[in-house]
Amino acid sequence: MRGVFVRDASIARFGKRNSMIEMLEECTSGINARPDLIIFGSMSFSATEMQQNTASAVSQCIGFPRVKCLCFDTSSSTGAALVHYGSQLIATGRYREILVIAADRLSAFDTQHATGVFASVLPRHEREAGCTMPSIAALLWNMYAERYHANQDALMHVAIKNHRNGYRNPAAHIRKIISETDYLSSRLVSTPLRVLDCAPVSDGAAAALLANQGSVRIAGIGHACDTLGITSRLSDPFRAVREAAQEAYSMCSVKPSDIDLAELHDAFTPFEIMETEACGFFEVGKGAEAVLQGATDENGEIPVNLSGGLKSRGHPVSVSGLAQIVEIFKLLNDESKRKALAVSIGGAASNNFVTVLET
Amino acid sequence: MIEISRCTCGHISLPPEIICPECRKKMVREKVDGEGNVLSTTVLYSTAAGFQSPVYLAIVSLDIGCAVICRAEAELHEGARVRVELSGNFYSIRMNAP
Repeated sequence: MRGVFVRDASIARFGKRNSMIEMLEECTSGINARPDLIIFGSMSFSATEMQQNTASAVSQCIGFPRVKCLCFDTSSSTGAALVHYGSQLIATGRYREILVIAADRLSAFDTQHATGVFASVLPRHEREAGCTMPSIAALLWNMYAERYHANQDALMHVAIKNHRNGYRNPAAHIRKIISETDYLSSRLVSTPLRVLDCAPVSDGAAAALLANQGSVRIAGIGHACDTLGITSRLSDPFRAVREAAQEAYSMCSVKPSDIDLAELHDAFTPFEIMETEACGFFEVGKGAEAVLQGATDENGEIPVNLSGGLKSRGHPVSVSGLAQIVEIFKLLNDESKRKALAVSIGGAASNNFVTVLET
Repeated sequence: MIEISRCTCGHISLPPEIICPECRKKMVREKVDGEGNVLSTTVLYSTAAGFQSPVYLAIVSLDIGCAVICRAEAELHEGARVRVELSGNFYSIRMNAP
């Protein structure tokens, strides 16, 4: 692929926000852009803002009413989809600068309603049985733990680690260091997952300017899909995450051991562990043990979710995949790290994106 | 009895589908016995609007060669023998299948 770069990137503070317009302004105003195209992504914009014709409405509100615009939705991986397909349009040479933006404001719904909106990414018969996303994560973890004799303490370790990392992130929704006692006394959501195993429902927005010049290169991209529900892929539920990772690695001739840091989709703590395996950082079935040994800690062999992840930064659904890339962009600009990877999964790992960025 | 769809390639879909997700051939519907084993369970406390907490959920692996997520009436354990039924728009479990 012809060189495509993230030239600038920004996040609006995650948490409870009252205004979509304010968030869009906050994440785009600092970016000096003259885009040929704007690609917007959201899972609930039309419902919360009572506005269809979404791409035009958003372009207007950030001051680009006459710039070409489109809207994408791949549920919780939308933000990464914007970067992947935007970067491929830049690579054609036809576009010079593309501004990608994602925003969601789910606090417009109460928690039970929002839980239902999240669950709407699942097949209908599962939703009508009462399934929610945390219950899918719990069912997958229980099966995984039985199959590989995984130590459940690894879930607590992921939660504590990501909150410790997110404490330093000014954009994070929940900047709070948590203890084992906090974790063990937090309410059960879906056994064995507790509130502190689940990312909070957040409002948020993020933006990135993709261009044919810049300091952080989009080196590898991989996109892979699988069935909407998990029950036809129980022997390998994250198969399409692994395929997306392999596609991204092979595009830039990078191995898992070359990656300096990773942002993984920890909407639920078990997902982070399963993704470390799908990305090839650890052998299948060994992820939980590696986490307990500190391999994904800040000073471990592969630091995971230095930003706090979805767990601490928050999960404004469609925004998370783009927020990960913004965080990596910043980490690569600030530190001595050279190569970083982001995994964003849509729904129950049905529509997945893996991105490798390098300086 | 529950309705599944079967493809000549060997794939079975539950709920039944029109087009085979493996080979895109047209699938044929058939009624089968819903006996199977519980593979994984969870007790869901934070339910979506319209559901009363707790909801007991299980993945059941059916003997005919497919799996489905079902609602149960009480907590189940991995390995339990159960029978799956269709209850309106979702699948439920009848305990202690013969």
